[in-house]
Amino acid sequence: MEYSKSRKADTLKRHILLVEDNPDDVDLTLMALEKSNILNEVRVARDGEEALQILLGREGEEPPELPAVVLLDLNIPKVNGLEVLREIRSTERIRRLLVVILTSSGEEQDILRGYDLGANSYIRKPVDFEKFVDAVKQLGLYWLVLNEPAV
Amino acid sequence: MGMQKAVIRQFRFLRVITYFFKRQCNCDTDGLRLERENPAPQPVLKTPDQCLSFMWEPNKYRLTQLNPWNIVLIYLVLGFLWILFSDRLLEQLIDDPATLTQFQTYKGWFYVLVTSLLLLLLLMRYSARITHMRSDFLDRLDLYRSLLEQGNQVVLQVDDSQDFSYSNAAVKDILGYDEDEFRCMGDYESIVHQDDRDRFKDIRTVCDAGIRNNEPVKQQVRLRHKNGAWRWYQMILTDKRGFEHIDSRLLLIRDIHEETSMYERLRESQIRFEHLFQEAPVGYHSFGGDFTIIDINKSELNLLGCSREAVVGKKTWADLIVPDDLPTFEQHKKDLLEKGYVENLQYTIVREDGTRRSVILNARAFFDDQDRLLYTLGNVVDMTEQIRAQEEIRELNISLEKKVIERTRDLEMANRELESFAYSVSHDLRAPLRGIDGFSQALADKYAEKLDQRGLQYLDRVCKASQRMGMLIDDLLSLSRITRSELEYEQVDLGAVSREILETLKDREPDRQVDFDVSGDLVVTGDARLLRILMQNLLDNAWKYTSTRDRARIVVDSAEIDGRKTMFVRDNGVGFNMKYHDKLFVPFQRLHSQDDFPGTGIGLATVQRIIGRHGGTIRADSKENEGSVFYLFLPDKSV
Repeated sequence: MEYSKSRKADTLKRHILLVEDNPDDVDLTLMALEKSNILNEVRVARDGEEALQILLGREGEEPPELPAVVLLDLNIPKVNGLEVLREIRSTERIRRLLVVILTSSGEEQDILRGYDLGANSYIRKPVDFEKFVDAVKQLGLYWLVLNEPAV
Repeated sequence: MGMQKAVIRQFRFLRVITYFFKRQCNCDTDGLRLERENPAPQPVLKTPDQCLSFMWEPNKYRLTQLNPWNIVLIYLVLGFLWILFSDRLLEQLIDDPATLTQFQTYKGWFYVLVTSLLLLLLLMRYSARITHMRSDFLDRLDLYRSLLEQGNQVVLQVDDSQDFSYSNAAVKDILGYDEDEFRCMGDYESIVHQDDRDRFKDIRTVCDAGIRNNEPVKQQVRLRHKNGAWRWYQMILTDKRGFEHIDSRLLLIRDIHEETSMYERLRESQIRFEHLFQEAPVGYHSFGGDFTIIDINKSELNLLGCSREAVVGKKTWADLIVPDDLPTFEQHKKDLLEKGYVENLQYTIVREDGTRRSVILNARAFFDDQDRLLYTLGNVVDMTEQIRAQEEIRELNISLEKKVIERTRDLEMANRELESFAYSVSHDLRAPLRGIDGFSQALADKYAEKLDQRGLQYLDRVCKASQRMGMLIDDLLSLSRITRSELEYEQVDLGAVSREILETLKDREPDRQVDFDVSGDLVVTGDARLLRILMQNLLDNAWKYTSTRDRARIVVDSAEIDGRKTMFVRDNGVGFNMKYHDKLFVPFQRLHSQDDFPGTGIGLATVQRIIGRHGGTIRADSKENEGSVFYLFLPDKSV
């Protein structure tokens, strides 16, 4: 129980990795997080390559601190979201990382492939900003407060 | 010694006498034997042959053996011998002259008695024979007369002046004229057919000049029967023999019309068959026992491209086909000899000019008593064009298939493009919309004090518009997804699905008074996911358009309409004007204003597309302000 408590406290202090190339969406997500009173630090990766770099760090350096949760868009430049997910799940150190796919796509195949590759959750970004804020709020509550993370 | 000599002499005399008698008797017995040998020994002769044999073989009855001359000769010989030897015999036996004279008188009486008896015997026999012959002759004469009169040919006797001195009664039956009428006709040429007059004249000429070599002259001519019809007759001119010499001629006329016309018909039919054989569009041929061609028709010669002379008696089938077909031909020959026929044999033949034709051969074999092949009859059909056409059809089919594959590939590519378009629509168009909405809200939130009431209203409208566009994009995407997804057939209970949907709707707006009636047979075969979307859209509409009613009523049921199970969804909502019925199922077409009833206008388009994909039909019936009914028909597909 002790251990668990410390982990949960840890989760709230750890940063959130937002993988998103659209600056509007970045700002909207930040606004939504702010509105939802989620005060964790948010680091933003503009493409898949950058996201993997942040997660894996440079060679020869100390491995970077892991985020509490990764909010992953699918349609991003260079390495796309699903490939980033696959890379995360196949890398030993970070394979238990919480990854929430947060995307505009509601395509069935995207959803299925996302889960196949081991996404913890799939959330479609609503157009309605209020709904979006609500979604982000629920997301934060669930994944950062309720959920017991593995890493 | 003298006595002995006399006895010997006497003996010789007796032998001579017996010899003559014997000869006479032999003649008789010969004659009798001949009669006995006759197959019909009755006195009345029955067949014409027997009658004629009397004429042709007069010696058979040995008339010369017993004629008066013979009788006299026999008498003379016997008398001479008697006179010569009887006195000398008496002289030798009797010495006394008185006794001798007396005996000589007895001898004279004896001689007269014996010769009289002999004469009587001979004359009786002669007379009996004459009587017998006469009755025979009369019998035969009757027979000839009846044959002549009842016979089936006209018999005319032509005398030297070219007149008919006799005609039999058959002239009436055969030519239709009375005997006298015919004999006095005079101008006979007038009843002879124009084309046959030359032949008729030939007969007349021969009649004048006499018949050569005993050969009867025969001609076939058409004569006009008294009833006016032309008929074929055979005329035979022959000599009439009297007892001594040819005294006149006989003209025989026989009606051969039936035979001739039958022959003509036969000839015509033969010509027809010959024509058919030669001109039929099928090749006909006949092979001999050694498989050499013995007959061939024109069509097959055309097919082979060579002349009759080049093949008949010279070539066999093996010479006409391509070398590859030779082993098959050997096998087919065996089959033919075994079964007696072969059918639908395929061959490729080489024409004289080297080109090839594909043919089908059927043949039948004919054998003699020892089962040796006499000849075959075969027909050959040129299949080249058919095979070429089949080949073309096959090629066309292949190219068609190729085209179908190409088209399918194109279609698949277009579908993929559409999919990626839909993907980018879903992804890329929504992002800027979210931006518009989000930043408008942020503006409204954070800078509310800097905007007046109208500015805030505008911002609200920007948000609403972008949200609506988001809905439109979502609906459009779901419509395209319905079109693209694969159908998975299973049994679906639309009643259960409807109840579930209606319950959800009720939960969402618990204040509304809505009566449900879901009943009837609503089990169908189809894609469960799509059918649920279908019912969702229909019931959403029913729910939506009854919102103005105090007591709404929604019925889901099925009925037999036009002999097939049809489901229907009925409500008592606002309905629509049937005038706009056509626009009901068109995407984005709405019949009500957004203010009255919000919506994107994609629901019924989706419904129709789902029904269409299942091969079913949908139609709507409505009256404004009274409600509407949607009838659904889904064909029964086995799971």
